[in-house]
Amino acid sequence: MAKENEINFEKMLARLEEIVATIESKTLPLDESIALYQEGKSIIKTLEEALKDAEGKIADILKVE
Amino acid sequence: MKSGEFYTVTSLNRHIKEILDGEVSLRLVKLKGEVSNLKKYPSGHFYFTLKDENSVISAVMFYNDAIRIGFNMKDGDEVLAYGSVSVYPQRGSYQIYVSEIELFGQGALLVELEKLKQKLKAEGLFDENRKRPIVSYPESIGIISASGSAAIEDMIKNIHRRYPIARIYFFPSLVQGSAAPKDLLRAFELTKSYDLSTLIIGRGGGASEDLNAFNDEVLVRALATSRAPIISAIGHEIDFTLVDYVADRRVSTPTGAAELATPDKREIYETLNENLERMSLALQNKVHTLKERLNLLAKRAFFIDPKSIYENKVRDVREYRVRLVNAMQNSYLIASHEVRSSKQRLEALSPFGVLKRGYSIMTDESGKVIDSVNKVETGQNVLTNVKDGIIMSRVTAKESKKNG
Repeated sequence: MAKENEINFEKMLARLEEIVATIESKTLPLDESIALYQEGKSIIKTLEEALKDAEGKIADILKVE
Repeated sequence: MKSGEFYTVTSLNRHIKEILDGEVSLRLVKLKGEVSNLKKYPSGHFYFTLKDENSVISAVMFYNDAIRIGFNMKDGDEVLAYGSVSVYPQRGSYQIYVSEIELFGQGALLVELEKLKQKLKAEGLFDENRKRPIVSYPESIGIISASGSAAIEDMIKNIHRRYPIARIYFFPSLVQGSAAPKDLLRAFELTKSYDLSTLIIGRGGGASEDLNAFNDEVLVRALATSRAPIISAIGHEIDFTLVDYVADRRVSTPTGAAELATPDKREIYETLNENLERMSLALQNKVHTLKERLNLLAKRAFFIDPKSIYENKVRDVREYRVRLVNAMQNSYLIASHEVRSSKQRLEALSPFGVLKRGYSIMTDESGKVIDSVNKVETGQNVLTNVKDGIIMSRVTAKESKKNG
């Protein structure tokens, strides 16, 4: 079964939480923190857009007989 | 009855009713028969007939009793009815007034069901440690339920509302009647070809519906092999079916199933916002901390007044220059003093120096010094060098010193 939806919500959320924790830990150089911050923001954007997109098109209901 | 007397229809029916009502053996009868011509009136009363191969009897069940029926009564059901026999005078018909009714053999069925439950339990099919957690962020949710039912609409609506990302696969199936167990099994077999995060088996519906299909042994055993965690939403608050026991989680309503199967969109947005805030704050803190450190360093003197870096050097250079100049002057002075004194000493040695002290030097006209009377003749011109010039004169006489 081909998956049109390539976003793995759970994995991306887990990655986001990891990023937040890493930035909070304060042991990281600033440039790495900024890179992580940008990655975090892009994950947030992706997930929010995924939700909005799905809302927009109302995900398929496939009736299997 | 005397001649000339007669019954009216009403009085005859009333008479018959009195006789029947007085018959103790008809006050509480236990009647086995098959339900037919069942009519459920809006008032809540049930009218039907009970029959066997040879005979029928009318039956009525009033609202107060009908609502307590523990199954979904329908034509063809073999039942045991409890009630009293009496006459409905207006129609001149007798009927059984049913107060309780149960499916014939239900008692035996319940015993069978309990045995099956204990057997499957002993095999470990219902063990708590077999229960798997429901996926938090499902990509696809399978639903086995009756087509067109309120339950399926409710589930789809709520899944969409909460988590529109999830793809829903709907596997329609019969959920009651004798064909239901096989149909449920067929629907479940279909789900196996799909990569489902969660499988919901649901039906919703009233309290008095037939749950037998969800107690089918073959179905329960099949569900125990499901790859996807199962949520059962059979929709019965009190009576658990065997499917409820084998499912990973059990809920009592279709809405409950949708809520268990999905995260709430609003909570996700909140989580995302919270993470964004935490992340932003952490980064701001980091920048702030670095700024503080930078400020501390920036307050060092040489950043505030960069001249201070080389001012000392400038001062040094200036000082060295002064010392150098002084040294130069000193050595010049010393040197010039030496030159002067040397010059004086030299001058003191010069014959001309003597002239200054009042001595004079006499030469002949060729410049030869005359330092003896013998070097000059009388009448000869001589030159006398004094400190400020030369005197020319003529020798008039000369005399030698006796002991010269």
